[in-house]
Amino acid sequence: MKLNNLLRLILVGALVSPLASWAAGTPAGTVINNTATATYSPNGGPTVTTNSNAATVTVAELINVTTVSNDAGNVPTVTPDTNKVLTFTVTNTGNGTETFALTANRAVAGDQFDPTVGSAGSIFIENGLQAGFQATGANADVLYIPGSNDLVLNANSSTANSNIVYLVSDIPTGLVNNDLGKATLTASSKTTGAAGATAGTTLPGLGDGGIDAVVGATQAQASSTGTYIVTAFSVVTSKSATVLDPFGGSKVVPGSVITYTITTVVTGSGGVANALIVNDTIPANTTYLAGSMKLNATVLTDATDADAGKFNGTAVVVNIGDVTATAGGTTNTVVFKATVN
Amino acid sequence: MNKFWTTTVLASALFAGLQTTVYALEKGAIEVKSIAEVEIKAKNAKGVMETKREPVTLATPGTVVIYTTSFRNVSTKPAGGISIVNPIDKNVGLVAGSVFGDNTDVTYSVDAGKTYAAADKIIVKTAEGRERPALPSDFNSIRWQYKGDLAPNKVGEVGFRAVIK
Repeated sequence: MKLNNLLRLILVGALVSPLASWAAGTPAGTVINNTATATYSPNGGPTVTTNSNAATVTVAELINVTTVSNDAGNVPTVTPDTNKVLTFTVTNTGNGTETFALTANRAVAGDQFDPTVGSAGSIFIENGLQAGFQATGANADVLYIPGSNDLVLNANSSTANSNIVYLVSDIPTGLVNNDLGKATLTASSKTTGAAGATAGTTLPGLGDGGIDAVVGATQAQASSTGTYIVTAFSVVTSKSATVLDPFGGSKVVPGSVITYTITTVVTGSGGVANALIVNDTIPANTTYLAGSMKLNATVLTDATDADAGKFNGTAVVVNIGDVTATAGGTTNTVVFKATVN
Repeated sequence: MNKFWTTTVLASALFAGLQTTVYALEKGAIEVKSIAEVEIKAKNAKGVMETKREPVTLATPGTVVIYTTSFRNVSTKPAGGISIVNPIDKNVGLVAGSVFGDNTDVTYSVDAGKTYAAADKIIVKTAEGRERPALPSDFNSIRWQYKGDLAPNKVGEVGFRAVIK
Protein backbone atom coordinates (compact mmCIF):
# COMPACT_ATOMS: atom_id res chain seq x y z
CA MET A 1 0.00 0.00 0.00
CA LYS A 2 2.75 2.34 0.96
CA LEU A 3 4.69 1.45 -2.16
CA ASN A 4 1.55 1.93 -4.17
CA ASN A 5 1.15 5.43 -2.75
CA LEU A 6 4.74 6.21 -3.49
CA LEU A 7 4.41 5.04 -7.05
CA ARG A 8 1.30 7.12 -7.46
CA LEU A 9 3.02 10.25 -6.27
CA ILE A 10 5.90 9.68 -8.61
CA LEU A 11 3.46 9.42 -11.46
CA VAL A 12 1.58 12.50 -10.35
CA GLY A 13 4.84 14.37 -10.21
CA ALA A 14 5.75 13.26 -13.68
CA LEU A 15 2.36 14.34 -14.89
CA VAL A 16 2.57 17.86 -13.52
CA SER A 17 6.17 18.52 -14.44
CA PRO A 18 5.32 20.54 -17.55
CA LEU A 19 3.52 22.99 -15.31
CA ALA A 20 6.15 22.97 -12.62
CA SER A 21 7.80 26.13 -13.81
CA TRP A 22 5.02 28.04 -12.08
CA ALA A 23 6.44 30.23 -9.41
CA ALA A 24 5.86 28.89 -5.94
CA GLY A 25 2.18 27.93 -5.89
CA THR A 26 0.03 26.82 -2.99
CA PRO A 27 2.29 26.46 0.05
CA ALA A 28 3.55 22.99 0.87
CA GLY A 29 1.44 21.33 3.56
CA THR A 30 -1.77 23.15 2.65
CA VAL A 31 -4.78 20.88 3.12
CA ILE A 32 -7.41 21.22 0.43
CA ASN A 33 -10.75 19.82 1.54
CA ASN A 34 -13.67 19.14 -0.71
CA THR A 35 -17.01 18.43 0.89
CA ALA A 36 -20.16 18.33 -1.18
CA THR A 37 -23.58 19.05 0.30
CA ALA A 38 -26.77 17.47 -0.96
CA THR A 39 -30.23 18.79 -0.24
CA TYR A 40 -33.29 16.81 -1.27
CA SER A 41 -36.86 15.91 -0.45
CA PRO A 42 -37.32 12.27 0.41
CA ASN A 43 -40.53 11.10 -1.14
CA GLY A 44 -41.92 14.62 -1.34
CA GLY A 45 -41.25 15.27 2.33
CA PRO A 46 -39.44 18.18 3.99
CA THR A 47 -35.98 19.13 2.72
CA VAL A 48 -33.07 17.24 4.18
CA THR A 49 -29.40 18.27 3.99
CA THR A 50 -26.49 15.87 4.12
CA ASN A 51 -22.76 16.28 3.66
CA SER A 52 -20.33 14.04 1.90
CA ASN A 53 -17.07 12.90 3.37
CA ALA A 54 -14.22 15.36 2.89
CA ALA A 55 -12.04 14.43 -0.04
CA THR A 56 -8.70 15.72 1.19
CA VAL A 57 -5.66 16.54 -0.86
CA THR A 58 -2.53 17.77 0.89
CA VAL A 59 -0.15 19.90 -1.11
CA ALA A 60 3.26 18.27 -1.29
CA GLU A 61 6.43 20.31 -1.35
CA LEU A 62 7.62 20.87 -4.88
CA ILE A 63 11.35 21.54 -4.99
CA ASN A 64 12.23 23.87 -7.83
CA VAL A 65 14.91 26.48 -8.32
CA THR A 66 16.19 28.73 -11.07
CA THR A 67 19.53 30.45 -11.49
CA VAL A 68 19.89 33.21 -14.06
CA SER A 69 22.76 35.45 -15.05
CA ASN A 70 22.05 39.12 -14.45
CA ASP A 71 24.89 40.35 -16.65
CA ALA A 72 23.77 42.13 -19.79
CA GLY A 73 26.46 40.37 -21.80
CA ASN A 74 30.07 39.33 -21.49
CA VAL A 75 31.74 41.04 -18.55
CA PRO A 76 34.77 43.00 -19.76
CA THR A 77 38.08 42.48 -18.03
CA VAL A 78 41.74 43.11 -18.66
CA THR A 79 44.63 40.72 -18.22
CA PRO A 80 45.48 40.24 -15.42
CA ASP A 81 42.72 41.50 -13.15
CA THR A 82 41.32 40.77 -9.70
CA ASN A 83 37.85 40.31 -8.21
CA LYS A 84 35.86 40.52 -11.40
CA VAL A 85 32.20 39.82 -10.72
CA LEU A 86 29.58 37.71 -12.47
CA THR A 87 26.11 38.35 -11.02
CA PHE A 88 23.31 35.78 -10.71
CA THR A 89 19.84 35.57 -9.22
CA VAL A 90 18.83 32.33 -7.50
CA THR A 91 15.06 31.96 -7.14
CA ASN A 92 13.11 29.36 -5.18
CA THR A 93 10.31 28.49 -7.57
CA GLY A 94 9.04 25.69 -5.36
CA ASN A 95 6.27 26.00 -2.81
CA GLY A 96 8.19 25.39 0.39
CA THR A 97 11.12 26.81 2.29
CA GLU A 98 14.24 25.29 0.82
CA THR A 99 17.96 25.44 1.50
CA PHE A 100 20.35 25.63 -1.42
CA ALA A 101 24.08 25.03 -1.65
CA LEU A 102 26.08 27.13 -4.07
CA THR A 103 28.99 25.95 -6.16
CA ALA A 104 31.19 27.69 -8.70
CA ASN A 105 32.77 25.97 -11.68
CA ARG A 106 35.44 28.03 -13.41
CA ALA A 107 36.73 25.17 -15.61
CA VAL A 108 33.97 25.43 -18.18
CA ALA A 109 34.60 24.08 -21.66
CA GLY A 110 34.32 26.24 -24.75
CA ASP A 111 36.37 29.22 -23.71
CA GLN A 112 39.98 30.40 -23.93
CA PHE A 113 40.88 30.70 -20.28
CA ASP A 114 39.80 29.61 -16.83
CA PRO A 115 39.23 32.38 -14.31
CA THR A 116 40.58 31.62 -10.84
CA VAL A 117 38.95 32.02 -7.44
CA GLY A 118 38.74 35.71 -6.58
CA SER A 119 41.29 37.14 -4.16
CA ALA A 120 38.40 38.38 -2.06
CA GLY A 121 36.63 35.00 -2.08
CA SER A 122 34.77 32.74 -4.48
CA ILE A 123 31.06 33.41 -3.95
CA PHE A 124 29.33 36.27 -2.17
CA ILE A 125 25.67 36.78 -1.27
CA GLU A 126 24.15 40.23 -1.60
CA ASN A 127 23.38 41.55 1.87
CA GLY A 128 20.81 44.01 0.62
CA LEU A 129 22.53 47.14 1.90
CA GLN A 130 23.97 48.37 -1.36
CA ALA A 131 23.27 47.10 -4.84
CA GLY A 132 26.25 45.58 -6.62
CA PHE A 133 29.23 43.73 -5.22
CA GLN A 134 31.18 45.15 -2.33
CA ALA A 135 34.05 43.03 -1.03
CA THR A 136 34.77 45.22 1.95
CA GLY A 137 33.42 48.20 3.86
CA ALA A 138 30.24 48.90 5.76
CA ASN A 139 28.05 47.41 3.05
CA ALA A 140 30.28 44.43 2.34
CA ASP A 141 28.41 41.46 0.91
CA VAL A 142 28.51 38.12 2.68
CA LEU A 143 31.18 35.60 1.80
CA TYR A 144 29.50 32.28 1.13
CA ILE A 145 30.83 29.38 3.16
CA PRO A 146 29.32 26.03 2.11
CA GLY A 147 27.39 24.37 4.91
CA SER A 148 27.62 27.48 7.04
CA ASN A 149 25.46 30.08 5.34
CA ASP A 150 23.70 28.12 2.64
CA LEU A 151 20.96 30.01 0.87
CA VAL A 152 17.63 29.55 2.70
CA LEU A 153 14.87 30.79 0.41
CA ASN A 154 11.19 31.09 1.22
CA ALA A 155 8.48 30.26 -1.23
CA ASN A 156 5.57 32.48 -2.12
CA SER A 157 7.24 35.80 -1.65
CA SER A 158 8.51 37.90 -4.47
CA THR A 159 11.23 39.47 -2.36
CA ALA A 160 12.31 36.73 -0.03
CA ASN A 161 12.36 33.91 -2.51
CA SER A 162 15.27 35.09 -4.57
CA ASN A 163 18.76 36.17 -3.86
CA ILE A 164 21.53 37.90 -5.70
CA VAL A 165 24.76 35.92 -5.78
CA TYR A 166 28.17 37.15 -6.94
CA LEU A 167 30.71 34.81 -8.43
CA VAL A 168 34.05 36.54 -7.96
CA SER A 169 37.14 35.63 -10.00
CA ASP A 170 40.66 36.74 -10.68
CA ILE A 171 41.75 36.90 -14.31
CA PRO A 172 45.08 35.35 -15.34
CA THR A 173 47.85 37.24 -17.02
CA GLY A 174 49.00 36.77 -20.59
CA LEU A 175 45.60 36.67 -22.27
CA VAL A 176 44.81 38.32 -25.55
CA ASN A 177 41.91 40.39 -26.77
CA ASN A 178 38.55 38.63 -27.09
CA ASP A 179 39.63 35.68 -24.98
CA LEU A 180 36.59 34.34 -23.15
CA GLY A 181 36.54 32.82 -19.67
CA LYS A 182 33.35 31.16 -18.51
CA ALA A 183 32.19 30.39 -14.99
CA THR A 184 29.05 28.61 -13.84
CA LEU A 185 27.08 29.11 -10.63
CA THR A 186 24.97 26.17 -9.49
CA ALA A 187 22.36 26.24 -6.74
CA SER A 188 21.39 22.78 -5.49
CA SER A 189 18.69 21.82 -3.03
CA LYS A 190 20.15 20.43 0.16
CA THR A 191 17.18 18.10 0.66
CA THR A 192 18.72 14.63 0.66
CA GLY A 193 18.41 12.98 -2.72
CA ALA A 194 16.76 15.95 -4.39
CA ALA A 195 19.47 17.63 -6.44
CA GLY A 196 19.75 16.04 -9.85
CA ALA A 197 16.98 13.51 -9.24
CA THR A 198 14.52 12.81 -12.04
CA ALA A 199 11.60 15.23 -12.07
CA GLY A 200 8.70 13.66 -10.21
CA THR A 201 10.84 11.73 -7.75
CA THR A 202 9.15 11.61 -4.36
CA LEU A 203 11.20 12.03 -1.22
CA PRO A 204 9.00 10.67 1.57
CA GLY A 205 8.80 12.90 4.62
CA LEU A 206 11.51 15.31 3.44
CA GLY A 207 9.23 18.23 2.63
CA ASP A 208 8.22 21.14 4.84
CA GLY A 209 6.70 19.92 8.09
CA GLY A 210 7.51 16.30 7.27
CA ILE A 211 5.24 15.96 4.25
CA ASP A 212 6.57 14.35 1.12
CA ALA A 213 8.72 16.41 -1.19
CA VAL A 214 8.55 16.05 -4.96
CA VAL A 215 11.42 16.98 -7.24
CA GLY A 216 10.22 19.49 -9.80
CA ALA A 217 11.08 20.04 -13.43
CA THR A 218 14.32 21.82 -12.56
CA GLN A 219 15.52 18.66 -10.81
CA ALA A 220 16.12 20.67 -7.63
CA GLN A 221 19.20 22.34 -9.01
CA ALA A 222 19.88 25.13 -11.45
CA SER A 223 22.97 26.52 -13.13
CA SER A 224 23.77 29.58 -15.10
CA THR A 225 26.98 30.56 -16.84
CA GLY A 226 28.52 33.99 -17.10
CA THR A 227 31.42 34.98 -19.32
CA TYR A 228 34.40 37.24 -18.90
CA ILE A 229 35.85 38.79 -22.05
CA VAL A 230 39.34 40.22 -22.28
CA THR A 231 39.05 43.66 -23.74
CA ALA A 232 42.66 44.77 -23.35
CA PHE A 233 43.48 47.58 -25.77
CA SER A 234 46.54 49.43 -26.96
CA VAL A 235 47.02 53.15 -27.48
CA VAL A 236 49.67 53.99 -30.02
CA THR A 237 50.67 57.60 -30.46
CA SER A 238 52.75 58.89 -33.34
CA LYS A 239 53.93 62.36 -34.19
CA SER A 240 55.06 63.78 -37.47
CA ALA A 241 56.14 67.23 -38.60
CA THR A 242 56.18 69.08 -41.89
CA VAL A 243 58.04 72.32 -42.44
CA LEU A 244 57.17 75.22 -44.70
CA ASP A 245 59.86 77.86 -44.89
CA PRO A 246 59.21 81.49 -45.84
CA PHE A 247 60.48 80.76 -49.34
CA GLY A 248 58.07 77.94 -50.10
CA GLY A 249 60.64 75.25 -49.29
CA SER A 250 60.96 72.92 -46.34
CA LYS A 251 64.05 74.24 -44.58
CA VAL A 252 64.00 74.97 -40.88
CA VAL A 253 64.93 78.63 -40.73
CA PRO A 254 63.59 81.45 -38.60
CA GLY A 255 60.08 82.11 -39.76
CA SER A 256 59.48 78.55 -40.94
CA VAL A 257 56.13 77.08 -39.88
CA ILE A 258 56.21 73.55 -38.57
CA THR A 259 52.95 71.60 -38.73
CA TYR A 260 52.81 68.85 -36.10
CA THR A 261 50.41 65.95 -36.51
CA ILE A 262 49.80 63.72 -33.47
CA THR A 263 47.87 60.56 -34.15
CA THR A 264 46.44 58.25 -31.44
CA VAL A 265 45.15 54.84 -32.42
CA VAL A 266 43.20 52.77 -29.87
CA THR A 267 43.11 49.14 -30.95
CA GLY A 268 41.29 46.35 -29.13
CA SER A 269 38.06 44.45 -28.79
CA GLY A 270 35.64 46.92 -27.35
CA GLY A 271 37.57 48.19 -24.35
CA VAL A 272 37.42 51.88 -23.61
CA ALA A 273 40.41 54.17 -23.22
CA ASN A 274 39.02 56.59 -20.68
CA ALA A 275 39.76 60.34 -20.80
CA LEU A 276 42.41 60.17 -23.46
CA ILE A 277 44.45 63.42 -23.45
CA VAL A 278 47.08 64.59 -25.93
CA ASN A 279 49.54 66.92 -24.20
CA ASP A 280 52.37 68.25 -26.34
CA THR A 281 54.84 70.86 -25.14
CA ILE A 282 55.86 73.38 -27.78
CA PRO A 283 59.51 72.69 -28.68
CA ALA A 284 62.24 75.10 -27.63
CA ASN A 285 63.00 77.91 -30.06
CA THR A 286 59.54 77.76 -31.54
CA THR A 287 56.36 79.70 -30.85
CA TYR A 288 52.89 78.25 -30.96
CA LEU A 289 50.92 79.66 -33.89
CA ALA A 290 47.72 80.96 -32.32
CA GLY A 291 44.51 79.46 -33.62
CA SER A 292 46.23 76.57 -35.39
CA MET A 293 44.90 73.73 -33.23
CA LYS A 294 42.61 71.09 -34.79
CA LEU A 295 41.12 67.82 -33.64
CA ASN A 296 40.08 65.59 -36.52
CA ALA A 297 40.03 68.64 -38.80
CA THR A 298 37.80 70.63 -36.44
CA VAL A 299 39.34 73.90 -35.34
CA LEU A 300 39.73 74.29 -31.60
CA THR A 301 40.13 77.60 -29.82
CA ASP A 302 43.23 78.24 -27.73
CA ALA A 303 41.22 79.37 -24.74
CA THR A 304 40.21 77.15 -21.82
CA ASP A 305 36.58 76.71 -22.73
CA ALA A 306 33.94 74.23 -23.78
CA ASP A 307 35.84 72.74 -26.67
CA ALA A 308 38.37 69.97 -26.22
CA GLY A 309 41.54 71.96 -26.79
CA LYS A 310 43.56 74.69 -25.12
CA PHE A 311 47.03 76.23 -25.31
CA ASN A 312 48.24 76.75 -21.76
CA GLY A 313 51.28 78.86 -22.63
CA THR A 314 53.72 76.00 -22.88
CA ALA A 315 51.78 73.06 -24.28
CA VAL A 316 48.90 72.11 -26.52
CA VAL A 317 46.40 70.07 -24.52
CA VAL A 318 43.55 68.27 -26.29
CA ASN A 319 41.09 66.32 -24.22
CA ILE A 320 39.88 63.66 -26.65
CA GLY A 321 37.74 61.90 -24.02
CA ASP A 322 36.67 58.24 -23.89
CA VAL A 323 37.73 56.25 -26.93
CA THR A 324 36.28 52.82 -27.63
CA ALA A 325 38.83 50.43 -28.99
CA THR A 326 38.06 48.73 -32.30
CA ALA A 327 39.75 45.88 -34.05
CA GLY A 328 40.93 48.12 -36.87
CA GLY A 329 41.91 50.91 -34.48
CA THR A 330 40.07 54.10 -33.58
CA THR A 331 42.11 57.06 -34.77
CA ASN A 332 42.13 60.65 -33.46
CA THR A 333 44.32 63.25 -35.05
CA VAL A 334 45.51 66.48 -33.42
CA VAL A 335 47.20 69.10 -35.58
CA PHE A 336 48.86 72.35 -34.54
CA LYS A 337 51.51 74.68 -35.90
CA ALA A 338 54.56 76.40 -34.43
CA THR A 339 56.84 79.08 -35.89
CA VAL A 340 60.62 78.78 -35.70
CA ASN A 341 62.04 81.72 -33.78
CA MET B 1 -34.83 -8.62 29.83
CA ASN B 2 -35.62 -4.99 29.29
CA LYS B 3 -32.16 -4.04 30.42
CA PHE B 4 -30.53 -6.50 28.02
CA TRP B 5 -32.47 -5.05 25.11
CA THR B 6 -31.33 -1.51 25.92
CA THR B 7 -27.73 -2.62 26.01
CA THR B 8 -28.03 -4.36 22.70
CA VAL B 9 -29.56 -1.31 21.03
CA LEU B 10 -26.82 0.89 22.44
CA ALA B 11 -24.19 -1.52 21.20
CA SER B 12 -25.80 -1.56 17.76
CA ALA B 13 -25.91 2.20 17.66
CA LEU B 14 -22.27 2.42 18.63
CA PHE B 15 -21.35 -0.14 16.03
CA ALA B 16 -23.31 1.76 13.42
CA GLY B 17 -21.57 4.96 14.38
CA LEU B 18 -18.19 3.37 13.96
CA GLN B 19 -19.15 2.21 10.51
CA THR B 20 -20.34 5.76 9.67
CA THR B 21 -23.34 4.26 7.95
CA VAL B 22 -25.90 5.81 10.28
CA TYR B 23 -27.43 7.84 7.46
CA ALA B 24 -27.76 4.74 5.34
CA LEU B 25 -30.13 3.34 7.92
CA GLU B 26 -32.41 6.35 7.68
CA LYS B 27 -35.33 5.79 5.37
CA GLY B 28 -35.50 8.05 2.32
CA ALA B 29 -31.86 9.07 2.68
CA ILE B 30 -29.37 10.06 0.04
CA GLU B 31 -25.82 8.89 0.53
CA VAL B 32 -23.22 11.38 -0.70
CA LYS B 33 -19.59 10.56 -1.39
CA SER B 34 -16.77 12.77 -2.55
CA ILE B 35 -13.59 11.56 -4.10
CA ALA B 36 -10.48 13.33 -5.36
CA GLU B 37 -8.65 11.64 -8.19
CA VAL B 38 -5.91 12.32 -10.68
CA GLU B 39 -5.47 11.02 -14.17
CA ILE B 40 -2.44 8.81 -14.52
CA LYS B 41 -0.85 8.07 -17.84
CA ALA B 42 0.97 4.77 -17.68
CA LYS B 43 1.78 1.87 -19.91
CA ASN B 44 -0.39 -1.18 -19.44
CA ALA B 45 0.77 -4.79 -19.58
CA LYS B 46 0.77 -4.60 -23.37
CA GLY B 47 2.99 -1.53 -23.35
CA VAL B 48 0.21 0.77 -24.55
CA MET B 49 -0.18 4.15 -22.88
CA GLU B 50 -3.39 4.27 -20.91
CA THR B 51 -5.08 7.00 -18.98
CA LYS B 52 -6.66 5.91 -15.77
CA ARG B 53 -7.84 7.52 -12.59
CA GLU B 54 -6.34 7.02 -9.18
CA PRO B 55 -7.40 8.48 -5.84
CA VAL B 56 -5.02 11.22 -4.69
CA THR B 57 -4.19 12.45 -1.20
CA LEU B 58 -0.93 14.30 -1.84
CA ALA B 59 -0.16 16.39 -4.90
CA THR B 60 2.02 19.25 -6.03
CA PRO B 61 0.90 22.65 -7.36
CA GLY B 62 -0.14 22.35 -10.98
CA THR B 63 -1.81 18.98 -10.48
CA VAL B 64 -5.26 18.67 -12.01
CA VAL B 65 -7.57 17.04 -9.47
CA ILE B 66 -10.85 15.47 -10.55
CA TYR B 67 -13.48 15.90 -7.86
CA THR B 68 -16.46 13.60 -8.17
CA THR B 69 -19.53 13.63 -5.97
CA SER B 70 -21.78 10.61 -6.20
CA PHE B 71 -25.22 10.52 -4.60
CA ARG B 72 -27.19 7.35 -4.17
CA ASN B 73 -30.78 6.95 -3.12
CA VAL B 74 -30.39 4.29 -0.45
CA SER B 75 -34.05 4.37 0.52
CA THR B 76 -36.98 2.54 -0.97
CA LYS B 77 -38.78 5.72 -2.05
CA PRO B 78 -37.89 8.21 -4.79
CA ALA B 79 -36.14 11.41 -3.72
CA GLY B 80 -36.81 14.71 -5.46
CA GLY B 81 -35.50 18.24 -5.47
CA ILE B 82 -31.93 16.98 -5.23
CA SER B 83 -29.35 19.72 -5.25
CA ILE B 84 -25.62 19.14 -4.90
CA VAL B 85 -23.44 22.04 -3.84
CA ASN B 86 -19.67 21.86 -4.04
CA PRO B 87 -17.53 24.76 -2.90
CA ILE B 88 -14.27 25.30 -4.79
CA ASP B 89 -11.34 25.69 -2.44
CA LYS B 90 -9.41 28.93 -2.81
CA ASN B 91 -6.24 26.96 -3.47
CA VAL B 92 -7.62 25.35 -6.61
CA GLY B 93 -8.94 26.83 -9.82
CA LEU B 94 -11.82 25.37 -11.81
CA VAL B 95 -10.70 24.02 -15.17
CA ALA B 96 -12.81 25.57 -17.94
CA GLY B 97 -15.31 23.19 -19.47
CA SER B 98 -14.62 20.44 -16.95
CA VAL B 99 -17.90 20.47 -15.02
CA PHE B 100 -19.95 17.31 -15.59
CA GLY B 101 -23.22 15.90 -14.32
CA ASP B 102 -25.85 14.01 -16.35
CA ASN B 103 -29.45 15.11 -16.01
CA THR B 104 -28.58 18.22 -14.03
CA ASP B 105 -28.84 21.98 -14.37
CA VAL B 106 -25.51 23.51 -13.42
CA THR B 107 -25.21 26.99 -11.95
CA TYR B 108 -22.26 28.82 -10.46
CA SER B 109 -21.56 31.19 -7.65
CA VAL B 110 -18.95 33.89 -7.23
CA ASP B 111 -20.14 34.80 -3.71
CA ALA B 112 -19.43 31.54 -1.92
CA GLY B 113 -22.86 30.09 -2.53
CA LYS B 114 -25.13 32.98 -1.63
CA THR B 115 -26.41 33.21 -5.18
CA TYR B 116 -26.17 30.94 -8.20
CA ALA B 117 -26.62 31.67 -11.89
CA ALA B 118 -25.70 30.25 -15.27
CA ALA B 119 -22.02 30.76 -16.05
CA ASP B 120 -22.67 33.23 -18.86
CA LYS B 121 -25.01 35.32 -16.74
CA ILE B 122 -22.53 36.15 -14.01
CA ILE B 123 -20.80 39.52 -14.07
CA VAL B 124 -17.88 40.32 -11.79
CA LYS B 125 -16.21 43.59 -11.01
CA THR B 126 -12.51 43.99 -11.62
CA ALA B 127 -10.19 45.69 -9.15
CA GLU B 128 -10.58 48.86 -11.23
CA GLY B 129 -14.35 48.67 -10.85
CA ARG B 130 -15.06 47.60 -14.42
CA GLU B 131 -17.58 44.85 -15.07
CA ARG B 132 -16.72 41.77 -17.05
CA PRO B 133 -18.17 38.29 -17.58
CA ALA B 134 -17.05 35.80 -14.95
CA LEU B 135 -14.24 33.41 -15.80
CA PRO B 136 -14.06 29.83 -14.55
CA SER B 137 -11.40 30.96 -12.09
CA ASP B 138 -13.89 33.36 -10.50
CA PHE B 139 -16.30 30.64 -9.46
CA ASN B 140 -16.07 29.51 -5.87
CA SER B 141 -19.08 27.21 -5.73
CA ILE B 142 -20.95 24.96 -8.13
CA ARG B 143 -24.54 23.77 -7.80
CA TRP B 144 -26.07 20.83 -9.67
CA GLN B 145 -29.87 20.55 -9.61
CA TYR B 146 -30.99 17.06 -10.50
CA LYS B 147 -33.95 16.98 -12.87
CA GLY B 148 -36.83 14.93 -11.58
CA ASP B 149 -36.66 12.21 -8.94
CA LEU B 150 -33.84 9.85 -8.20
CA ALA B 151 -35.29 6.37 -7.99
CA PRO B 152 -34.33 4.01 -5.17
CA ASN B 153 -30.86 2.54 -5.48
CA LYS B 154 -30.03 4.84 -8.39
CA VAL B 155 -26.78 6.83 -8.36
CA GLY B 156 -26.11 10.24 -9.79
CA GLU B 157 -22.63 11.58 -10.39
CA VAL B 158 -21.44 15.15 -10.74
CA GLY B 159 -18.03 16.70 -10.61
CA PHE B 160 -15.37 19.00 -11.95
CA ARG B 161 -11.65 19.32 -12.50
CA ALA B 162 -9.58 21.83 -10.66
CA VAL B 163 -5.89 22.64 -10.82
CA ILE B 164 -3.96 23.18 -7.61
CA LYS B 165 -2.70 26.73 -7.65
